[in-house]
Amino acid sequence: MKKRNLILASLMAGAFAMAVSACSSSDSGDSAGDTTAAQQSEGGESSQGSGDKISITFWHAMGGTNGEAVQQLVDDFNASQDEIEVHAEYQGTYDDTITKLKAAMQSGGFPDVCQMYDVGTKFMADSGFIIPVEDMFESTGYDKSTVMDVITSYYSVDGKQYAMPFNVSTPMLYYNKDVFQAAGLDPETPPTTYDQVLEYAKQIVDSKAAPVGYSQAIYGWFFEQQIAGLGQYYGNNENGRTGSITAVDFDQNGAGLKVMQMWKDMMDSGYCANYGTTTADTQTAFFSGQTAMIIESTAILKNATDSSPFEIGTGYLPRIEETEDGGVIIGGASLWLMNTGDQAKQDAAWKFIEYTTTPEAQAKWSMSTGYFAINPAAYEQEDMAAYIEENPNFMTAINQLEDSPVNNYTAGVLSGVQTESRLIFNEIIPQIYDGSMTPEEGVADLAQQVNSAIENYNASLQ
Amino acid sequence: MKKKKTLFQTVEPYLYILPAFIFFCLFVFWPFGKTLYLSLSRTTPLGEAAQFVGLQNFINIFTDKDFYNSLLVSFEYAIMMVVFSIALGFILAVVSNEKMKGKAIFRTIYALPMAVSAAAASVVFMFIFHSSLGILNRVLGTNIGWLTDSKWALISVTIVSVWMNIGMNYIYITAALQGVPDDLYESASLEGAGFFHKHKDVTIPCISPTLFFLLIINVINSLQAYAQFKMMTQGGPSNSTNVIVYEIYQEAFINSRFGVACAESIVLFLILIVLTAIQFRLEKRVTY
Repeated sequence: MKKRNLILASLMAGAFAMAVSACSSSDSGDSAGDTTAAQQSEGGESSQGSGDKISITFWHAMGGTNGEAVQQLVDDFNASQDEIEVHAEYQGTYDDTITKLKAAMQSGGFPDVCQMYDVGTKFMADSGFIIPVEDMFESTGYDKSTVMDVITSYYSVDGKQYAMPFNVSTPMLYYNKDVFQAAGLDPETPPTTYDQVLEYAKQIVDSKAAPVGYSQAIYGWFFEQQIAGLGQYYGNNENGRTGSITAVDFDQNGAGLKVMQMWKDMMDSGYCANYGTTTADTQTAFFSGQTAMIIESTAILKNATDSSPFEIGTGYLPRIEETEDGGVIIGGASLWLMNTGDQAKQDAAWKFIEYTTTPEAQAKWSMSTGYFAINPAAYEQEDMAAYIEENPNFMTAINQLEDSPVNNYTAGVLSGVQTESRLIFNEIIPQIYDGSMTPEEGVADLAQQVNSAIENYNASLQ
Repeated sequence: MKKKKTLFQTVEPYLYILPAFIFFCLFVFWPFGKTLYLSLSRTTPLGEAAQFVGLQNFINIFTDKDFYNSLLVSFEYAIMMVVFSIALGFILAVVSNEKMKGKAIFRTIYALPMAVSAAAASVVFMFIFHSSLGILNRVLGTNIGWLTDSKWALISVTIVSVWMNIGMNYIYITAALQGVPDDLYESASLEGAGFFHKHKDVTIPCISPTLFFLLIINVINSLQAYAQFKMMTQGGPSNSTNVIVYEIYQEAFINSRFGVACAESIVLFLILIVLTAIQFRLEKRVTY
């Protein structure tokens, strides 16, 4: 009897273990993606019957309103010509998308066009499964200067453009105009340096206009931004733009310490608060009036102005020091042309990518999502011009981008381990804030951990 | 007096297990072998073996303080889970086993969390725990970052997991309680045992095989917990909820270091084997 119990117990244990792993793999994001994908492919089949169009698949990671805008863009493209039919398939979050793409690269069945987030750029470029978009420019006579240089530079390796920017954003300062008014500050002049931010925060808290003056989420992107703002490199080989990064540079050039020391001082001042690594929590604190200033991506601007109970002001991303070479780095995602080996499909896929850069498509995309229009001609479109007039905050974002110099500081970090680097950053910063680590130790620890990740990445590709 | 077997007789038993064997090879042994192989390799971002590195991955994880932290967090979590979810399941089962009205309703309610998926429960509790919008802080009048403060995050996730896990323990214990002979209770009452003594000296010994079974299942389940951590905390803040399975997920699918992730899975596998072996040893002593 006992023996049987034993076997039974171990069998049950096995069954439960399996059930647990089965549950864990079906997360809600995936299933949403699957339904959309299923719907899309259904639609695709019916229209495929109508002729011998070239059918291409496009994987993207845009949910909600942005997902609708993607679908609109695809529908517009499909309607604009009768040779190519694009099927957009939502894959979940950016992380879900890269995970699925990795699986598809091994087993086959990857899409013709794939949207990939900024930090996935190096992985894609090294993967051997893509065609640099610049190789296709000649085939349709596409003019490289269509898209702003400051944007394409992020997706270029050794001067060659690998992917087409799609949804582009930068961080900027958001502030509560009502609170500024109540604190006796000029609601039209936002602070531009961190020293000023601190001064303003002090006045806001002291005048009891808001409980907290300034907040920023713990987010590795902001760290990269501040290093670029100081006109310094995050990684060696000019941020990986002249050759692969072999080690970080921020611990050598002093920029890392400057940034961490500044943030630590801010948090210690008592006028600023930390709401953790989830950017949405910092946003909630801002929109509920808890904190008067935050830094956030320009991508939330449309949502913010639509839903905020108070008037929102925007300013350039505060800097630690004003520098000649410093500026903001773009974030967001780009479109990659996958190497499927089918020439006709590749040509068709490129035509779709090219279409996304037209002024009309960009104006529509920008207005319905809040992302930048990557083609400056879009701003001259009638409806876009009217839209900007109505939403002056949009101008802040555009001006900030135009004021950023085009160089390898602002091109951003091209590293195969940047997702991981940001996670390591997320672990270290709270320890600096709570005093269990000095900023010096934090920089050294971050550099050491990121360097070992880079070393491993480079070794695995040899 | 041993008769010599024919060839068929020798082969026959193996034929019976062949289908199961093929299934196991495909879904258990082959992946296990592959995991072992990858754990000895450096892998490309796509998860293919690039170079053979011997035990380097194991050396790396055992010199990495984050890995020890993950083990520690996992064990803290498992202990809290086992203690609270079995104890609460037991209490609820005993209480709802008394003769009273509406027993069936209570039984359904207590078992219900079992039907909720871990991901769905996590989403609901994320709203409850939210530091500025959540109802919990509103009700308690506190301002605690339940999921964003490293002192609280693990406890908060444990509360959710205990809630999800009680249902299963409750059902098993309730079933076991039906099997306790009434005459034992009667004679205990005759000898003057109160409610507390009755359960301590009659109920627990009688259902100890079930409790033991639950102990194993709960430990294994807890050490393999993943969904609620992925949904609620992503291992943060500052690794305070980075349980071993989430750490494995993170190494493999976020950091693209499949070799290291495989090495960690093998360590987890060994830990589970050792724990199960110890528990079977103990069983001989606790079962009546």
